[in-house]
Amino acid sequence: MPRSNRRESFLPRKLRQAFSNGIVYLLLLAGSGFMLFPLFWMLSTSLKTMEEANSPRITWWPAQPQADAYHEVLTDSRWLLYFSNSAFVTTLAVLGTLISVAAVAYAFSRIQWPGRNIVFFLMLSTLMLPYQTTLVPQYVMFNKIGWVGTYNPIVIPGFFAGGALYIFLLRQFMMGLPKELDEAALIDGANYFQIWRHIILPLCKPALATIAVFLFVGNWNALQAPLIYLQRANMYTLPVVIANLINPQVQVQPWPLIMAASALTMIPLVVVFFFTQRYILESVALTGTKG
Amino acid sequence: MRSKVWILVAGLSVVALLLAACGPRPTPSPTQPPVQPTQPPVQPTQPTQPPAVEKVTIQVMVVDYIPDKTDKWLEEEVVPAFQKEHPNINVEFVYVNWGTLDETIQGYFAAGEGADILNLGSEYVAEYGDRLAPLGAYLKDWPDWAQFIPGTLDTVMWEGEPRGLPWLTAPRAYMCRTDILQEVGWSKVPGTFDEMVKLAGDATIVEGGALKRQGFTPLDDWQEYISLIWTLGGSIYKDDGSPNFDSPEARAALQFMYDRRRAVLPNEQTAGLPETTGALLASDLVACQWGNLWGAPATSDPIWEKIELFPGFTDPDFPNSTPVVQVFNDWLAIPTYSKHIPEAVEFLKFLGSAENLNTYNSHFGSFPPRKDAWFGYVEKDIVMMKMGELMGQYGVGFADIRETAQFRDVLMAEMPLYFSDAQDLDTTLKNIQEKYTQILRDAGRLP
Amino acid sequence: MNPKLYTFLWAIATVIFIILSSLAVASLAKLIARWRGKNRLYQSRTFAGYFFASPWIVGYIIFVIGPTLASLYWSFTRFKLPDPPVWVGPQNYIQLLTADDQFRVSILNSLYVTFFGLPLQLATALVLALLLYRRLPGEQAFRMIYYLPVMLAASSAMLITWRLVLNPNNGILNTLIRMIESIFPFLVPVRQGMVWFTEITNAAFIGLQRGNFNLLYQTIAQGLPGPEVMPLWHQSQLWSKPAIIFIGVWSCGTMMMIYLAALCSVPTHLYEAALVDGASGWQRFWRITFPMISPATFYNLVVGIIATLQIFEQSYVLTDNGGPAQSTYFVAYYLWRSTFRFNKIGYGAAMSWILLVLILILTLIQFRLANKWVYYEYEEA
Repeated sequence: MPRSNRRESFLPRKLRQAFSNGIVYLLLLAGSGFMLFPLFWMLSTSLKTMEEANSPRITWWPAQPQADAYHEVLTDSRWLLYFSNSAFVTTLAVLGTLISVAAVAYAFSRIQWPGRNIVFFLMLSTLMLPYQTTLVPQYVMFNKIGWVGTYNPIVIPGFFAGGALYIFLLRQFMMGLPKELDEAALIDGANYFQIWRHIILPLCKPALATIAVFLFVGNWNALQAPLIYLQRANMYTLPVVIANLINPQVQVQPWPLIMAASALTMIPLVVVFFFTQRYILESVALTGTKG
Repeated sequence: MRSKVWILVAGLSVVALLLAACGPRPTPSPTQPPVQPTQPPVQPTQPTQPPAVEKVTIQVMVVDYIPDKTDKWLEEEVVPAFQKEHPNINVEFVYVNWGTLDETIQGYFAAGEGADILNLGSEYVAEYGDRLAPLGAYLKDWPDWAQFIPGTLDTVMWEGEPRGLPWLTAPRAYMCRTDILQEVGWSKVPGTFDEMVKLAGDATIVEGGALKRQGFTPLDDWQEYISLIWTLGGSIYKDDGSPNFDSPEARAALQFMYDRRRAVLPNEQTAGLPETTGALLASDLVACQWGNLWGAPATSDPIWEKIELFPGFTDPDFPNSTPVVQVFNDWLAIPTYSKHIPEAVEFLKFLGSAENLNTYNSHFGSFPPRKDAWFGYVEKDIVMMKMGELMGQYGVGFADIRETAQFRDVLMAEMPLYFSDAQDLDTTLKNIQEKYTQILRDAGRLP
Repeated sequence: MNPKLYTFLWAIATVIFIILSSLAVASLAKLIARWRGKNRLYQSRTFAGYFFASPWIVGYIIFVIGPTLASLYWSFTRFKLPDPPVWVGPQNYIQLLTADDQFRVSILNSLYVTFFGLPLQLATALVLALLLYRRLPGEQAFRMIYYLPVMLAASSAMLITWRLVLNPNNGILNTLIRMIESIFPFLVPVRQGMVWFTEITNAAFIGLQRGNFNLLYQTIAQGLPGPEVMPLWHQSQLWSKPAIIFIGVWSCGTMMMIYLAALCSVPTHLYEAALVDGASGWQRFWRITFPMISPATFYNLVVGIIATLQIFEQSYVLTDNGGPAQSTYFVAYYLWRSTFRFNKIGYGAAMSWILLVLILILTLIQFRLANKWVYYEYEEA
């Protein structure tokens, strides 16, 4: 088709470009506002005085930001205990899951073994299984072996490469590494374990970092399993405590305090995300496009 | 490069180990039987002790309402005092949260082991009564037993036997702000159902489609519905154990709640009150309230000069109608799986002394469930004394609610549908009656 | 013993157990390979493969197969702890599918959020991805901001914050709406229309759910709501599901990233050709972009359905036990409540199987329909 068919605008091209970029920026900013305003409100409320938080009139930002609520949470031995509980559960679960997932993904991507496709298909099919189908029988099972009321049911299952999605993600990443790496190493006399440890894992660091962050987020936020397995107040993790803060039977806790505790709970998530976002954003894209 | 990964892994393991090591006070796993120390602590007197006295550890599961207060008191004062009398009994506590109490108790019963003393809610006897040890034989020679307020004992009786000891009593009554009442032309608190509806409307302010002041709160509490049925002289079960929601009392009570709600919220599109902290009654946002003293302003608050506490109201159409103060009791019970029932009973009796019940309840401003424990903070407090008086006269225990969790879900589904005009009164009552009958049948409580 | 130390020791024991069982599985596999007369290279590959895959295989047997079979069995029993299960045949399923109103209500609530919420989520994600695709300076920062909610969405701390944000009286969201409207008064009727639309659709839905359309008639009879009527969010049965959808849309970052990756993989020569043909921007989007990124849409849909049908935290934290009037009583929540509050384990198990079948059916339908609209570029890596 001849070029003259294009509709010509009366505006010069450059100006039009700048105009449309301006609109895109405006929209992007509006979107950011939409994404950030609940967080802004959390922060603002946590810094308010009781009067400001209680007033039916809205206070956008406290006249004199108060750090009292944060001080109260951070000096309360209970809250520190909940933080340490969450940190413990998350650390251990992330470590165990990450290493086992790395091993399994290696088997699915870089070794040819009989039955691999069948096992891989089985693994993918667990993605469809609702969490709740196994939740109940697992509860009964853990009850039988006396694990209810301990951290074990929350931490230990992950050690068995819990999380088919992560295995899948890492497998995709490992498939992308050149085949010659292993072959050369095998000829040099290295065994599979050495190849995994010394060649494949170091090359997978971005993907491993991403999965570690996903696992961190998942474990740090987990509510359902801790709710049923941690049966004593001094073992609670943060989500359980926070979910129970609003108890209709008792007077409502001060909102600045609730919001300060919530903000402190989220800080680790935000920090971890900030430092790893480059890897994460790349890897999320990977799951979708190659699936 | 590689070593870095391993350093990271090792570092994280160390962190995990450190977290494990510097954790809270050591607590054993609740589902495991209390572990006997294989090596008793070295004591100089140990060899001379008669071998017959065996050291026993009992576990007590307590709802930790006020962290760092109740637990400290139990561990630092009660247990040492108890062990002076019973040096052979160790006491350990398991603290739980109200939100996860049910899961914990169910876990214990499922496993057939767990804490030896359980902190139960007011209506639990119908659910767990069969699995709690009958204590009549242990308590019949205990002189203090006679001191417990009869109304609180409703909560703990099952098949003619006490299954535990009440230890916290929180009555629920009505409260109104007299200054707001005066402002809207009311010189006294409502005495009848109709007056309550009228007042709720008069004291409400709606501006711009949102509540600025709420004449009455709460507007959809299922527990108040039960209280209102009792007020009218009705009951929620018929003699054969089937639900009684086809009775005129159940009907009138629900109709009243609807009318009162409509008086407050002109339509269901009205926005409710803002989220606030602390007692609503102190905030000028609410004129009247139904609830316990815990949800009310502190009794030391001068606002109480402007609050009138009253037991409720009656309906002239129902001759048996009398105000009801619904009494919620927390109680302590011993499950049948316990291997140390006699020792647990000893601790129960100790906790149930007038002094201990007084101290425990002073933490929340609730009432000790025995009359001779009403000294100190209770006596000094005009509001408490008034509430106590109302409870003595109008108190009915919130006990024996069968299949509570499912029953609550039915009410919470059906009542709001009626309140929002999605279904009429007849359908609502019919649905409650049918669904609750089905639940009781499924649970084997009805043929 | 200190509970953390206890679990730490168990973790070490688990690692040892996994290594030993992996060795056992791998040796068995190798033995079979040798017995079948395979060469040594084949045997060593078999050994290594099973060794590395074993953590998952062993976990699958312990934590998936075992529990799944147990759950299947229990779904045909009456099981109330601490009593043993009693076989009752398909009674649980029959009751769930024919008699249990609460189950019907909860399934329909879940489907509502799936059918209305998911498209909104997809659309928002796509729009954001298209904006980011311009690759303007600062795109990285925007990307981060848009993805951040995904990290926080499931946290109960965030859900508690939403309670405050969504308060219909003085919550910040409604206040923002009022503020924007005071600057642009022409938006007030728009909001009135949206409130009316939401209330009508939700009233109609509740009518379908309960078999009783009083609420709908009433909403219609009230006509267009006055300018003072604001969205009531989690306080009203007509608004609670939209509130949950709103939160879902807020955390659409994962979908957005997947769209962004798909957009980047659309070959530019297609656009150039279209430009030459004189296609407008709109036409280019619908004729080229949308079909080319359809695999991403498909992926987002399948994953989204599975996730939406398992919503739990929102019912527990935001709307206080699935209220008001059970309008946020979702199927995963009912399942949890049946099992852990009502102690009806067999019934809960039957419910989880119905949920599984529902997910399977919806996914199968997706795959069937996919042939019609998903465009695959058959390129093998």
